[in-house]
Amino acid sequence: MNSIHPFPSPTSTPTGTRASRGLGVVVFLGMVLLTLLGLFFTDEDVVQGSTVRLMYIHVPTAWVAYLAFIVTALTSAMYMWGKQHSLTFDRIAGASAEVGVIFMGLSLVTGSLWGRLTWGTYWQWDPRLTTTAFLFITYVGYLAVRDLGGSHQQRAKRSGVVALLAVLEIPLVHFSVVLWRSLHQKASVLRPNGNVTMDGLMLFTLLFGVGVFTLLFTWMVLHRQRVLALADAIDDGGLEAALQERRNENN
Amino acid sequence: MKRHSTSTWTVARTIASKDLRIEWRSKVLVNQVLPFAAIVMVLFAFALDNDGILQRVAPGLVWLAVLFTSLIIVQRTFAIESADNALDAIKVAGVPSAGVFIGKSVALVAQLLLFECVLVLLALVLYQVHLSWGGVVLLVTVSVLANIGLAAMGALYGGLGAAAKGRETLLPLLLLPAVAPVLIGATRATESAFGVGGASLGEGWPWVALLAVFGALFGFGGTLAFGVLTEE
Amino acid sequence: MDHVQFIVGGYVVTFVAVGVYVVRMLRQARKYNSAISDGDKPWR
Repeated sequence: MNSIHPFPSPTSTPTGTRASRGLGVVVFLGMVLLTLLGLFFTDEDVVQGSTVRLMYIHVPTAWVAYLAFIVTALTSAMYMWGKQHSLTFDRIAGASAEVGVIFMGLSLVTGSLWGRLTWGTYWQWDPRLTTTAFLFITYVGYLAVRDLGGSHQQRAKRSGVVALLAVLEIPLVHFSVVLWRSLHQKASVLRPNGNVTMDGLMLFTLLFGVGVFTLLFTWMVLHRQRVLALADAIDDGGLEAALQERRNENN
Repeated sequence: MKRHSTSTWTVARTIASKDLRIEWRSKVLVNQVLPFAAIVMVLFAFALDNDGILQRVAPGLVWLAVLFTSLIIVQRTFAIESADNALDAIKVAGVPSAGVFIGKSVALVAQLLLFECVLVLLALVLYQVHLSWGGVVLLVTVSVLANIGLAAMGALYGGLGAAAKGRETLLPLLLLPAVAPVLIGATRATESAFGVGGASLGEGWPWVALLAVFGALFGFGGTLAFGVLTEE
Repeated sequence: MDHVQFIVGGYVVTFVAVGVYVVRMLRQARKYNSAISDGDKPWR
């Protein structure tokens, strides 16, 4: 069974449990169904034609990316203001940011593929797009701060502050880009607002995609956060071993 | 014992005047960083190679040069601390970190102001832009407010880099995206100060509000966050 | 279907990127696992 199963069983995946394995199976089947719906079962859009099929994957990735950064901000705040300064919150924040950076990158890629087909250009200085790119870079920086070293609490405090600063930064960046663009002429390509009238199955596919990707995000963060816990435990173990060695030396 | 009697403001004043005195005596800023800023302005002219374009984009070039220079100044302002582990000594002495942050920021504001004067003068000479007296008033206001934002962010992320030794390469990655609103606001305001593209002076003042909000937000936020970021 | 290479490319990029990330993550988990006792795994 393992040979054909996409997600290894709990015995071979140390971060898995019965629940996460069940979630994994649901996510995998959901992805297969989403792909079939998005590429084959739905009709082409009256206005957008076949390019609407990219939306079924672009909108969910963008949604997950933003969700991930909200989760990072909330768990960072919970770490900073929680009485126990629980490292679990810090690790969830880190896992969520990491997954979020991947999905932000993917939504930029799928978005620019869609833009090439719809607007005729891969990139447009649209406020939403520009803010998304800034969010991407900002959280790449956040992940670099997590890598700075030091104790786990030190990492958690630093990255927590950086995450909370990002919550201040991003609205300001968005606001200033909106002001900036409002002074320029609107780009003379097809109207960039994706207002399309969707029939029942198309709307269902879009919402279904958002749902499945949210579950995928949950599954990935669950595992990633446990892997980070293992890595922290190894670090602690290494420190223990070093201290033990030191004590033996002194005796 | 002195821990509680040393007020934040005294610390800030001491740190700021110490930093500025070091820069005044060492002359590194004048002898090395200023020529760098000047050569950047000349290189912009080489790269764009057209008087019309240069005049049009002069405000953006001035502020880009300010951003690049600010990276160097911020790095330097923390290099003088970490060379003798002075930042650690300050922390051990129980000096309030908010005072250190404010002092560092004030010194950065002053240094950046010096560079902006030189860069604007260079733009006047090299890029042939024009500046009215009203424009000077706008430009000074813009520079001071933009510097508060730049200095606060610079002191914050520079302090983070200095606390984690040997990771100064992180500074541009963290600082440049964060200060993008300053670049946008200051550039637009400077465009109307220079009268680029027929922009009037009145169009520049709304951007001053954006810079003020940015400076206030991160001046305040930085004061709270600096202690946590530089903790050992 | 028009623009097949763009549309299928978008799907492929997404699934490959997520897949590579997940495989690396689980491989890392297996590597760390041997060094850690089950007491340090609260989800167990």
